[in-house]
Amino acid sequence: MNAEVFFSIVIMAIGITIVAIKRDLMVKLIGVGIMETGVTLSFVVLGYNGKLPPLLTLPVERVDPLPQALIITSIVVGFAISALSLVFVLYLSSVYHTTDAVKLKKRIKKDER
Amino acid sequence: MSADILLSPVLLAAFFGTIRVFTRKRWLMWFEIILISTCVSYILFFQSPATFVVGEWSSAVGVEVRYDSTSFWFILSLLTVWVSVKARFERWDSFMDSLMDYLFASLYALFISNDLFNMYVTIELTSLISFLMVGYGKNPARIWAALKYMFLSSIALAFYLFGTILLYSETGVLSIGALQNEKLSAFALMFVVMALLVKSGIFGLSAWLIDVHSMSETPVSMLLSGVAVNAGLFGMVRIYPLLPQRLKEFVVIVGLFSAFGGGIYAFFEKKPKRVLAFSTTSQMGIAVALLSLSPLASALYAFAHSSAKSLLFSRNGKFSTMIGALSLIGIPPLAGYFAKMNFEEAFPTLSLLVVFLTSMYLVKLFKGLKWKFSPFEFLLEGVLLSSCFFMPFGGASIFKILIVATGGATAGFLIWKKAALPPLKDVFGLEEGIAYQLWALVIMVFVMIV
Amino acid sequence: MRKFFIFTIIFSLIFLLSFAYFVKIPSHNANHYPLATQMYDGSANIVSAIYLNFRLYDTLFELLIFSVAVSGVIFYSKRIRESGEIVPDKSFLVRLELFIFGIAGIVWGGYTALTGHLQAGGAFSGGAIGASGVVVLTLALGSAKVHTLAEKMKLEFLENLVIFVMLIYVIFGNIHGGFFSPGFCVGKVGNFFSGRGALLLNSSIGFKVFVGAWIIFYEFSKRKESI
Repeated sequence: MNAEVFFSIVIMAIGITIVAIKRDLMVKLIGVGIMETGVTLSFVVLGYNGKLPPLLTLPVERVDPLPQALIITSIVVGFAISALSLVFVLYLSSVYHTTDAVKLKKRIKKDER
Repeated sequence: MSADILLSPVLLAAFFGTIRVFTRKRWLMWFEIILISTCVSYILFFQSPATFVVGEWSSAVGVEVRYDSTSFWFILSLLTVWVSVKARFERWDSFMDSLMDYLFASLYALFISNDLFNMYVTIELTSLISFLMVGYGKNPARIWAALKYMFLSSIALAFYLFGTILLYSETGVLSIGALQNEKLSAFALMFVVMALLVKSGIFGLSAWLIDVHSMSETPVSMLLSGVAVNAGLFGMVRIYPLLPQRLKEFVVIVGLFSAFGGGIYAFFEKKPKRVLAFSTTSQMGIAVALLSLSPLASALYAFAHSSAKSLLFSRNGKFSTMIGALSLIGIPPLAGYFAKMNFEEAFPTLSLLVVFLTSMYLVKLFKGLKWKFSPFEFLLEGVLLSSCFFMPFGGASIFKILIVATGGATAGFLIWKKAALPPLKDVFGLEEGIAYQLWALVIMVFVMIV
Repeated sequence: MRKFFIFTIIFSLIFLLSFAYFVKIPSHNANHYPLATQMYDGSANIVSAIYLNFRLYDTLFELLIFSVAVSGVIFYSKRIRESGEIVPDKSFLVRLELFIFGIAGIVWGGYTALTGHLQAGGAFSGGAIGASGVVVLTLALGSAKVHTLAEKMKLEFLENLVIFVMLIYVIFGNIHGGFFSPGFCVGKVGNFFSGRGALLLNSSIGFKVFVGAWIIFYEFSKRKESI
């Protein structure tokens, strides 16, 4: 595996580690964002088999346009998910007065009893 | 023109979902239900298996869609569950109404999709709608369940995307029809398989499923447990023929593990909705394990499961619960029996054990329900009953299933009468879910190396 | 218990990374899009040709995802108490500067969206640039003025109109095929009126992204001090 693709997997792994280790929900959201950036980087790197941007007016050594077209979709999806989860976190913190996942679970269990 | 007819339900559902913002007339909703069900029934009756490229481009540049016999069962189950939920909850929130339409559009598009990236987009739309539907209502704990779902599903779908781009960079195509001729590396397929198993409600891997399905409102539970879990399963159906032999075996073993794990957890659980959620993981495990026999068997099982599970989740009277439970166990004239017959053919001993386990935990559901006939469940019950008119009966296995089911029901009833067992430890949190996903990847690596 | 799971997460991530380092990925170089774009589409930007023409089916779902997210943000933020607003800076010079930057951002976003088929850019990036222009404008004028503007314009209705535009285009815009095979003019490569329906789609999708991102910002900025 070439170094760039490996590096993008490392970025994904960093994001997943942040989601798993950190207790604060906002930091977890940042972790999800980092993970999606890793995926984006892998798309860009694996499509990079030329030197120029994919415009018809330029000479033939263009990069592969399909990964770039696909990654637009996944960036929009990431935007949608992060906006929604921010609203959810805002609502949870306004009800339970915390953004700490462990405390949040305890308070939810308390409410259920 | 055939491709246009095949695509028109997507456009109709998207149109009616959007029009809800501008007007909220009641007749419009009934018009929509009639129009969409007419259109989809027309397709189900007359469409023969075919492959199209959307927009009539060549398949190298366009998006490929494919309608075949597996799509038939998935679309049929989607239509019945969707129509019955929509008709019963017609005066529900208007935002939820529009979300239901979008859910129909995305799931219908998924069930005819034959392209890796198109499957990603539709699965993502399905899960986004699920997040929003789960949070509906006053209980703020639901929001936490939805958020957990969001984290786990976005990690899984990031892996799916990564696998997709690896497959693309190896072969240069995204359509599954073209991928079948290529030699694919197991490393890329591993990520795709893991993500689809997470979305298809396998025990453990789908750690989100228990809270999401048991906490949400009745119509949401019916829709999610009935049809939205089929999203991942349909992806597995499309991907399974591409896998190398060892990954195929891994998928089947995971499915069987899920069938038993979910069943045991369901038996120890007390709340009816949580029992049903664990039962979903168990049944989806069987559907995944049936892939080893044929994709059609798996699709048939998913069909029988989705109608029965939405009947059970509606919890509207003893009669509908009875029909759903009998079909889920696999008692003869109902659709569940024909689905279970395939299961018995593939795994003779294990299937009887699963029948025993299923009848053991389904006994608990009848507590506190009244005898009543409600017209809204007739469609689902009719679909479960009417499948006996065009399916072949197996013969010898009926007695075995009946004896085992009776034994299981008696055993479950007696055990719960004598001893109040505590529920098993809840290990379906956020960190646990991430850990299970990564364990699955590590095990797949070992399966590939050894 | 949580510590055990976190330990296994880190351990299995390290294992997967060290395995992935030794995997070989063969790269493939079959690229049909430049030729197809030249023959059937006519826009200079191949990426734009893919997502507005060859894979328009995916873009429809992408728009639905965006629309669902925006209406979800509106629906769930109604439950949170409104508090706090953004006050403009005291100095006139700073306000003037921010105002000019904001207007320039919106204009630049519109330009990027409209010329998406000719150069790098496109509807989504254009809409995002325009929405960040609105953010800067809010800093200049204060949130109260911008919010009254947003409420007057009925943004949610405008945003959903775009899906109708898209559906009508998908159904009635076809010339040679069925649904999703859009028509209009192919045009010369590099010409402003080229790329089939690129101009219509770029402007409407760009507008939708602009308005949607504005709504999301608007809903968040109303609840500045909720936590």
